[in-house]
Formats: sequence, structure tokens, C-alpha cells
Amino acid sequence: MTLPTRSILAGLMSAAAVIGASFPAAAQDEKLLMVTSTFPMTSPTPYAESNAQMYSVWCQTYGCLGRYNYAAKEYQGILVDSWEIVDPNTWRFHLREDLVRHDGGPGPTTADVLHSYDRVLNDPASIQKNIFSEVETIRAIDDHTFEIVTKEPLASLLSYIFDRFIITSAELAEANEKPDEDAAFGWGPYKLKSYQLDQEIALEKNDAFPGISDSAPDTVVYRQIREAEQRVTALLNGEVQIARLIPPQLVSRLEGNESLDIVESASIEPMFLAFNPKFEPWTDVRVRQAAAHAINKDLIIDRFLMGLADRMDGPLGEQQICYTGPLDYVIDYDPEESRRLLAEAGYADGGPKVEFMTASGRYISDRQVSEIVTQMMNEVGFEVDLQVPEYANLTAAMRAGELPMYYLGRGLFLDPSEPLSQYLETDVTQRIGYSSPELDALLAKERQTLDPEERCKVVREAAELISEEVPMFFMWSHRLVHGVRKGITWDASADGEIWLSDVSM
Amino acid sequence: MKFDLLNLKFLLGALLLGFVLFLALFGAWLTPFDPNRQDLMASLLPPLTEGHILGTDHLGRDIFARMISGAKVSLAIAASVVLISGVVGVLVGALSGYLRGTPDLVTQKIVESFWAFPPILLAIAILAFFGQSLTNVILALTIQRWIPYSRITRAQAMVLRSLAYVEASKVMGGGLAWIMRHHILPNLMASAIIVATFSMATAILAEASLSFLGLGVPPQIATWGGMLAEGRSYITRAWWIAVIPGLGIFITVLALNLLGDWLRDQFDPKKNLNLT
Amino acid sequence: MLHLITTRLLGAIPVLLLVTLAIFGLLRLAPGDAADLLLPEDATEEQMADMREAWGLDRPIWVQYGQFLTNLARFDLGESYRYRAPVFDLIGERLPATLELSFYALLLAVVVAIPLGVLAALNKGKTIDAAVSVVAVSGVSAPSFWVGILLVLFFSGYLHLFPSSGQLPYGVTVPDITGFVTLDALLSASWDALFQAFRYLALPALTLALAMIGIISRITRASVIDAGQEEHVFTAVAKGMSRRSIVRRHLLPNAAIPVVTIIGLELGALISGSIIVEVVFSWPGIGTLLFQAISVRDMPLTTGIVATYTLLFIVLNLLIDIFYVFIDPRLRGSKA
Repeated sequence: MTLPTRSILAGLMSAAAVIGASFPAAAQDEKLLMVTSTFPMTSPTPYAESNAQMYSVWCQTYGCLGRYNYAAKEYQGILVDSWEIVDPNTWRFHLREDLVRHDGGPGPTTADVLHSYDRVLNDPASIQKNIFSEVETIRAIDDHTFEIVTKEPLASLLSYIFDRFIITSAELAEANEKPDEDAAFGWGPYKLKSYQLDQEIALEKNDAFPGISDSAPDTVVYRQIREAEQRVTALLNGEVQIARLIPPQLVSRLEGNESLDIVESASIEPMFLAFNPKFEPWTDVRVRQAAAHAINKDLIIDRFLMGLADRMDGPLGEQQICYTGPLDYVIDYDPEESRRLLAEAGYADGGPKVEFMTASGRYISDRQVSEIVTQMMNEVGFEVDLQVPEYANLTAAMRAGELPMYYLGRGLFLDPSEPLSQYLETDVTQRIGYSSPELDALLAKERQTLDPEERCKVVREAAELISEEVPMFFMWSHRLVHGVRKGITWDASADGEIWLSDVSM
Repeated sequence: MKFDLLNLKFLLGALLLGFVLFLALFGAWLTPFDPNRQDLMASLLPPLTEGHILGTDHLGRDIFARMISGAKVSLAIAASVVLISGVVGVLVGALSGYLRGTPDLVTQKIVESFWAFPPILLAIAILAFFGQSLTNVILALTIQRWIPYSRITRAQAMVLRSLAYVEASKVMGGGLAWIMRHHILPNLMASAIIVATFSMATAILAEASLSFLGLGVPPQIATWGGMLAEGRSYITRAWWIAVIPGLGIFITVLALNLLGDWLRDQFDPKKNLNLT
Repeated sequence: MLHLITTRLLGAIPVLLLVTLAIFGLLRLAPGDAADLLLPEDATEEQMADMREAWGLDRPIWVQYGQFLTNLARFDLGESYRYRAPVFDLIGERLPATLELSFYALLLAVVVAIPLGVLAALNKGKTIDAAVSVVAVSGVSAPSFWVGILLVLFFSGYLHLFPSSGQLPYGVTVPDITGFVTLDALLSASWDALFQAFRYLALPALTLALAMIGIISRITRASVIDAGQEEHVFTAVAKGMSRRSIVRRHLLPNAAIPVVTIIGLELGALISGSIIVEVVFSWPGIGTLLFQAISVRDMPLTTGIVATYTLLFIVLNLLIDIFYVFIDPRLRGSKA
């Protein structure tokens, strides 16, 4: 029952040769870029998802009003080429006239804008309605000009809609029963080639897009790889050329590798601790401050996150709109101060018992950071009971205002207006249960101050107040680390997404 | 009943299990470190550095101390699971097999339904609904494990039911419980113990899987499965964080399997296969 | 035979009902619902209320379950909250991948385990027997996800021989004839695709197989030993039959029943137990789908998948029983 050893060896060796040679290699003249993805890919309908990656993909294929260029720190139009504020509630946009649809059809018109507005609000698959929550209506001025009318003056309108309002063709929607599947044609620099649910999305360069670079990739594939180790392995194997979102502890696998570059960027997802004043002991601002003083952010960033986080003091980091430099009121690591504050608040003989909830695996090392925070707080006298509910339960409880203390991150925090309002303005949501008439006034004012400089002054005031009252203690924003094969140039931006026409191969 | 104690399986299994038990019970005296004490400045130290026999993990906690504490928890969880599922399973199976008729039919349908669930799903559902705690992990692990016991005991009970002496006992007025205790249960012990040994092994593995999926016990409690899951990301930088608990699981489960095998051999007449 | 089949299938109905009711109940009672999880971070409370209304999540639970049953009677499994596509279609797309993986894992396990078991039985008491025992026991002693991770790290990360995840590389497609990738590749003579498919199957199948090899080889060993006690075997030995012939003609056929039983049971455990392996390897089967569905409380999808698992399990047991009946005429007409 034994096979001759030699033929086994021969078989194995030829198998190995064939295996080794068969990793996907791009054709000589076609630039293929394989990128990893972690976001859900659940539907080819552009209005069915609401996450940074899909907005980025649809903006580059169908097209949206424009994007935020993080390097230049300004909004740049894709389908629009200019815009102005006509009166406090009215913004006027001008569509570009030099674009051609992917199937040869005409460029975007106001009819398409109105059709898309209707789809966002009324398409049964749409979950993007919230982008228009502050918008009263959209009206046409002519074929290439339209106006967005807001309910009240809104300085941050662009952050709601600019890179999220996807324009699809009214004409194609009328001519096709399933336009998103059968006629996925837009005006962007890339065309949608194929969409496989939860597996991969393939895009193709639109050579007819004005000014598109030759060195941009011809075909781009977003491949779903949820597990971080798999992403790194795929990159090392040559299965993908860009592996995104490498957690700090895996970065060492990429270091020292001559065929790879490690590309870093800041992010716009601040991580924070929330202290809900509706629960004891967080009603007392001294206890909140005591908890904040107990945390040695620098130690955690240096020793645990391996330096891959940007410390935040207050709600604004350098990447965000209206960042005007460090705040005056900063809560530093000072355990002595913590103990003093706790004693003052009546806990001299043993600290308050608190419940602390966090997610596990939803954000980078969320659970481990919470464990560290727990010990740091215990050291100054708190008695912390750390719990790690399943994410679904955590979110539900958080939104219902049932959590006394938690550690979370908040994405899409480019413009602070909406997130701060969501968490800290009285009665907008129940997430933190904090209520301050002073803060409410500041937030309402900054929303309506249309002059950017004036507005940022008000935002700063609000930030100082938040920093001192500390219902939310901002910790840091993680640095995004990506592995990129040499020969590919990509300047990563704070949203972690890839603007394909800026990539060169 | 004569037990062959010079058998390799028994010796190896008992030795390994004994070692693990020893560490679990007395290990705390062997190390000065607190398993939950973090020390970020001493994180990711390799074994045999600065007094840490097995090194430290990503939060600077001593791994040897955590292994000991984890041994206690993992073994306690597994033992509880096996005990509870054994008791429940044997009782349900025995009653079901003995009583027959409608109670049996209904019970069997319930058994089938429980058994048809993918185990992970039930565990996730329980931990999600009732929250994560030690008791709930035990519940999640027990919820299907009682079924193999009930199957064996039901079969036995059905056979025993019709035996003469059981009939005699009924005539003499012996209650259900009495019959259970004196006739049915003693005959099941052997099979039950064998199933229990293997069940303990799988319970330890199952707990590790739950921790891997993020559904295990709360963070303050160290379990081998949890350590393994956490150490996964550090495998290239600090292999010991995951390899050591993995080894711990492996050794314990191996020991249990060897002992289970040995027990099974003991209860079967010896056989020799002679084909020369 | 027909009687057996019909009773079994009819008996499956109450089981399916109980199972779906349980899942339904658990999902509804667990805190958090799909609206919380599928809408973006900045969704308004109003939006969430609208969504709940659209999905009927605000109605009392018995009303919802009633609706579910009515739909089920029309073979309508509903629409997934997350994908907004019919659950039936989603399951249909992903089920073949799970079945395919399970099949190859089982095949691998059987091909390795049975010869090992026979070898151990024939050499009972000697070193080879002990060695096989050690291998067998080791296989069932290590957590599957752990083994998977190590395999990927070694064979994929260091040796670069195998890919780390997925079912096929980009750009390689097979026509959708049966839904089973290897079969479709074979049928359409796409040899490159077939080769790639096996490369991608290798590590996940191996991970799953390792635990089964342990169990199957042990049972094989035990039942071959049992079979060796039979009268006709002694006769064959006395008659001077060659070892090989004895194994083939006397031992294996009689050892078959317990072995097939265990294979059947393992397959059942395999299909549901492959969830973790699917997650580790990003394998596009219903295991990953289920896990994601649970995390976002996608009720229709979760219920649909659980019902599928249940049905598979029942059908599997039925097939094993039918096989029994074929193998052993004495069993025909008797109750299990």
C-alpha cells in the first residue's frame, strides 16, 4: 500500500512550482490595483449604505457634489464646479458642463439632482435621509444651477451633503426597471464594473474624465477581508497591493519588508469616554474631572498603541474643521489632583462605584484600552466594574441613555457641529444626558454663523466649555496605518478612503 | 472491576491532568504576580525576563499568573458545565425512557429541536440577551450538552424498564424515584462518566471558541480561551501570549481525552486482534 | 422505506416550528434591533422610527411571528433587513460554498483517517497504534480557529504557498451551473479556475478536517477491532487468507456501519461548526452570513439560516438512516 517515494517528491515539487507561479499578476500594460475593504458591501444601490467607503466609491463612480480634500483642507467639487451662499438659508450650486456619462449620455443636469434628492428621501432602500435632515428643499434654477434651501442658517451644510449626495441619472432610472444593476452609469472618474455582495467591487478608469491622470490605476478592486491578520497576509503574498487599516500590533509584520511601504495618516474618528450626568456619581463635575485626570493618555499611546494615535485635548483635533490650535483648558494626567477632587466630592474614604461599558473589536483595541482605563481609575480610588456587552446591545443601550459611562469612537467627525449637537445638546438625543443652556446657546450660534472665521471662534468657546465640564473626555484619534506595495504612491487621507485618481502606479 | 493502571494512556493522561490541577489549586503560591495587574512599562516581555517565567502580555500582565488563574476558571467552567448537563441529561433521559408514551414523545421533539441549533447561535443568543457573565457562559455551554447524556440514559432506561426486577420493584410499591436511584442510574454510571470526560474536553474548547468570538466571560476574568483570542494579533511580535494558553488548552484536553479513552477501554472486555 | 421517509419529513415540521419560534423569540427579546445597527451614526430618531415601522418591528411579537408563519407557508422567507434582498436568494447563493467546504473537509478527513484507523487496528498494541492514537487525539484537542490561524500564518504568511482567505482570486470566475465552484469549473473545463479553487480550499478544509481525522480514525480502529472478533474472520485466518484480503473482504464491510454513522454525525456537526472556520478564512458561506446577521439583528436572515441548518440536519439524519436500511436488511421495518 505504499507509493514510490520518488514519484511523490516529484509530484510535490512540480505542484509547488505551479503554485508559486500562479499568484495574480497584472498584465504588463494594465494597471490593476487590489485594495482591502472592511465595510459591508450589501447592495449596488448607491443610497442603500451609509459608510465612508461606499460614499467614496459612489462619489468616484456616479459622482457626488464634491469631496473634502484633506491635504488641501478644502472642499473640491466633482460634479459641481462652484457654489455660493445667496442668503442665510440658500446655497446655490453650479454643475459642471464638461462631463460625459459613462455610456456616452449627457452630463449631469438639475433634473438628475432633483431625481436623486427624491431617491434619497423616498427610495425604500435608502438609509441616507439624514443627510437632508436640515434641508428644507432643493429647487432648480436652470439646467445646470440649483439651490439648496436650509430650514435655518446652517454653516456646516457642506459636511452634511457635499460628499454624500450621490447623483444618479433620471433618464436611466426611467428607462430601466433596475438602473442600479443594469445601467450603473454615472459621470465620475471611475466606472462600476462589477459588484459582488460582500466580496468585491471592481471599478474601471473613465478615460474620458477631464484631466484624469495616466498613472492612475486602470482597474481597481475592493476586496472584502474583514480579519486584520488576513489583510496583512494578503498584502505580503501579493494578493492585494494596498492593505488598509492595520492595527498597531500587526504593523511589525510589515516593518523591514523591502517591497512594502507603511503609509500613515491621522483620522477623524475621535475616541472618547462619556460620563453621563444623569447617573451618580457623574452628576458632580468634580468626579468627572477626577476620572479624566486619572488617565495617562501619553503612556497608553506610547506603550500600548505604539505611538499610533494623536492625542486629543478637547473635541477638536488638527484634522477637523475649526481647529484653531490647542485649547486653554486642558485636563492633564494628574492622579494627585484626582484624589483631591474625589475627596472634595465626598469620596475621601474610598471612591465611587461605577459601571463602565465598552465594545470589543469595534474600534482599535477598544476593550484593552478600557481595561487600562479601569486600572488607572481604580488607582485613584474609583471602583470600576468593566462590562463588555455585544455591540448591538451596547449601541441600543447607549442611544436609550442607559449607560453611565462608556468608551466609544465617533466617526465622520470632520465638522464638529453635528456630532457635538448629537451628543451634548439638550434633548437632541439621550446618549450622554448632559444639559447646559450655555453650551446649547453656543452650539446654536455656531450653526448659524456663516462666516467661517467668526464661526470658528464660537466653536472654540464651545470646545473650552466641553473641555472643562468634561461630559465627554476626548482621548485621541487613532492613526490609520496602511501597507502599500512599493511602486504605488498614495497619500492616505484622514477618512481612510482612497481617492483613486490621486493614486499613481 | 479491575482497572489497568499501568496503561500508557492512563499514566500520561493522569500525569498531565494532575499537573494542570496542581497548578490550578496551588499555583497561586508559586508566583508573586497578580494576574490582573497591568504594567504598561513591562509589556510584551518574553519568557524568563525580569522574573516573569512565561513573559508578559500586551498590558504587562504576568502570563504564568494568568495561566494559573485561567486554569481555575477554565476547569471550573468545564466542570460545572459537565456536572449540570450530566445531571439534567441523565434525569431527563431516564425519565423519558422509563415513562415512554406522550412525555417521551414530547421530550424527544424538544431534544431534536435543541440539537438542531447550531451551537454557536444559541450561545450568541444567550449571551446577547442575558448579558455576559460567568453564569451565562455556563448556561450557554450547557444548553445543548445535556443531550448526549439523555440519549444514552433513555436507551438504557427503556431496556431496563422491562426487566424482571424492575417489574418486581413496582409491584412492591417502589416509587419512581426509588427505581431511578436503585436500578436505572447505577447501570448508567459507566457510560455517563465516559461521556463526561469527553464532554469536559469539548467544553473547554467551546469556551475558547466563545472567547474568540468576543462572547466569553467579562474582561476581569482570565480564561485560556480569552488569552488565546487576545494573543492572536500579537503572534508575530510576542508569540508566547497566544501559544502558551493554546498549549495549556491542548494539554488539558489531551489529558481528558486520553483518560476518556482509557476508561472506555476499561469497561469493554479486552480484545486482541490476531491475524498472523 | 417510503414510510420511513414520510414519517421523518413530517416529524421535521414541529421541530422547524420550535426552532424558528425560539430564534424569533430570542432575537426579539434581545436588546438592540436592526434599526439601531443598520442606520448610520448620525441617523435621526425619526429615521429609526420610520425604519422600524417599515419592517414591522414596532408591532407586538405574536403579530410578527404570525406574519412570519404566513409567509413561510407561501415559501417566502422574507427580505433581509441588511441586504434588502430575498432571504431565500441570499441563502441559495451562499449555501453551496459551505456545503462544498464541508464536503472536501470530510473527504480529506476520510481519506486520511480510515487508512490510519485500519493501520492502528491491525497493529494494536504496537508503537504505530500508539502513534496514530496520539495524532488522533491531538486533532481533537486543539481549538479549530487556533489551528486555522497557525496554518494561515505558516503556509500562507511564511511559505506563500496558499492564499489567506476567500474562495477564488480576483479575475477568475466560473459559470454558475450548479453553484459549486469546483464542480462548475470541472463541468466547464476551466482548469485554471479548478486549480485555483482547490488552492483556496486547501487551508480551510484542512483546518476542519483535522478534528474529524481524530474521531473517524478512532472509530475506525474500534470497529475494525470489533469486526475482527467475528467468526468468519477466524475462519479466514485459519484458511490462510492474505492479510489484505481479510481486511478488504471481512473487516471493512462490517466495520462500515459505525464508521458511516460517525461520518454522518460529524457531517452534521461540521456544517454548523464551520462557522468559526468560515469567519477566520472569510469563506463566503452561510456561516459568515449567519454571524453577521446576528450582529445586526437581521431577523429574517437569521431565522432563515437557522431554519436551513435545521432542515439540513434532519435530511442528513434521514440519509444516514436510509443508508442503514440498505446496508442491513435486518433493520428494515424496525423502529429506531
